[in-house]
Amino acid sequence: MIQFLELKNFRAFEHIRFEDLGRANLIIGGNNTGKTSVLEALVLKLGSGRQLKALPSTFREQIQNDEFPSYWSLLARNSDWEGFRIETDQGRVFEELHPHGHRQILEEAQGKRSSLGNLQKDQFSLSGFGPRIPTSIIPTKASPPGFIADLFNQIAPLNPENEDRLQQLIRESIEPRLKRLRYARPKGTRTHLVYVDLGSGPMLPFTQLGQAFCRVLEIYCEIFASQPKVILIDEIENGLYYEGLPDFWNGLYEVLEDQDVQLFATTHSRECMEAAHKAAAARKEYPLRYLRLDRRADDPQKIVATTFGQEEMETAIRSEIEMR
Amino acid sequence: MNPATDIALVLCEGRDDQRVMEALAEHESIGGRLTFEHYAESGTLAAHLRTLSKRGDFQQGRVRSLLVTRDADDDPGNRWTSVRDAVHRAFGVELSAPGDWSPCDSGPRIAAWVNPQPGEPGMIETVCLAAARSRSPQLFSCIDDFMSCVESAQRGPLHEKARFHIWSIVAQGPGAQDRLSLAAALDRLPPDWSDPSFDGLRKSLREAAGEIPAI
Repeated sequence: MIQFLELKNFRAFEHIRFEDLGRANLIIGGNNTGKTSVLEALVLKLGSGRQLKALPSTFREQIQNDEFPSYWSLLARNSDWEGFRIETDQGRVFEELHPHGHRQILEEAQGKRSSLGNLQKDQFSLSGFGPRIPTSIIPTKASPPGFIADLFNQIAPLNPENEDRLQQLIRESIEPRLKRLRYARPKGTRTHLVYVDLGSGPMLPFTQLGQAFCRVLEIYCEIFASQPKVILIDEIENGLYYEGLPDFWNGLYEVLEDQDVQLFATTHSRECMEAAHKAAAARKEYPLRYLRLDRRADDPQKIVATTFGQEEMETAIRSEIEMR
Repeated sequence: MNPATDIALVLCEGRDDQRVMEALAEHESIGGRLTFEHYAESGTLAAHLRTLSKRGDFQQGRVRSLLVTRDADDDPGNRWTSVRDAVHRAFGVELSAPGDWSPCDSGPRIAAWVNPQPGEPGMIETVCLAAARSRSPQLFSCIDDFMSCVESAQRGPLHEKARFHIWSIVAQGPGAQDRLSLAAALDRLPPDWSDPSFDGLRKSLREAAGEIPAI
């Protein structure tokens, strides 16, 4: 597991460092404090070539293709000063400045240095990367139903235990009526989907069951199918009704521990923070850390980071202290 | 201080202490410049301060002054040590004496005050009763008689808080909303807020509000 994350001159951050990271890490803070930038830094440090190429629009739906080159040139907060640096206990990714505006993104891990990409006159090219930690990304925008169905299909035929587990998790966390899930393409339809048996009437395509069901199905399918070591989820509470959040978190912690996955997720929701804490406090070992970002009032360009955990959250809930 | 964005926070031990201090601040015309909060009980102060230090307004640097208050109860020396240690663990600030302000590197200036007075046993109720007594001596002769009668009947002394609660009940308004409301009692039968017994606390509150410069 990643123990610490340090960002220098990256996006809006001059220098922040999160210590004592946990199995699950909830990134919180006001608007424009850089929550999503932390996820982007983790993609740069951990992500595959495909994930790196798609990074500019992964968490920023509005970004257009013609903005991709400038996205890469804007990663450094102060481009005249020095390149950015993303460091964890498992190595670092950093930018080196060369004459004539050429910038090179380098990776250093286990004593080896390799070139990750080059940026020249706003043109970015990916040149390669060393061994990376398998990472899954779930942005705010829902993935296409066919993509989620394909993920489900990767689990089901090959690993019936995980299929049973997935059904049980969804039953416990979002839909107690669930009898079974099936990957199917009924006559008259064009694509395979996941169909849901709720115990009465015909099986329904999962897309008919609402945003929360789709979100939870996608998260669990992604973990079981892709078997990542790190999963990044933007606005994790999206679509989830607050009453179901404690069960959702219970199930998620179980899977994170079983599958040895580390979670980094952003949230705006106090209910989500509290539900995550209550479920975490019921576990043998408290798995949760809150990574908080704040913009200084006396220097609005400066963002500061702090990490807190069980004691602070218990005190906050007991004394009604607002920690968002 | 910029009153629009800067916060001067007074942290009180429980709701009753908070109500008394809010009323004193109102009397001093500094209520609008102070934000009052309370912690649940004395044993939770250290955890409360550690949590506050990570709260948004502290991290953003919007809290410019923090006055931590608590009651001395029967052990003023120990209570001062515990509040000083709790502040040090949460903010890394060494407080030298009750009421003295200390700067914090990237946080608010901090002071702590132990009621009723440095080195004296008691609580905010002690201060409040002294000031209420000087305002309404006739009423307190009845309360004292009543207390003596009860103490004699049960063959043991009542806690100082009992006298405070009897006073606050006597001072209740007639309406259903006013019963068992300390705020209503303070409004209806207020202590003499100018009483010297409030001087130490008054000074700390005024310094927290930026009314008089902290030394």
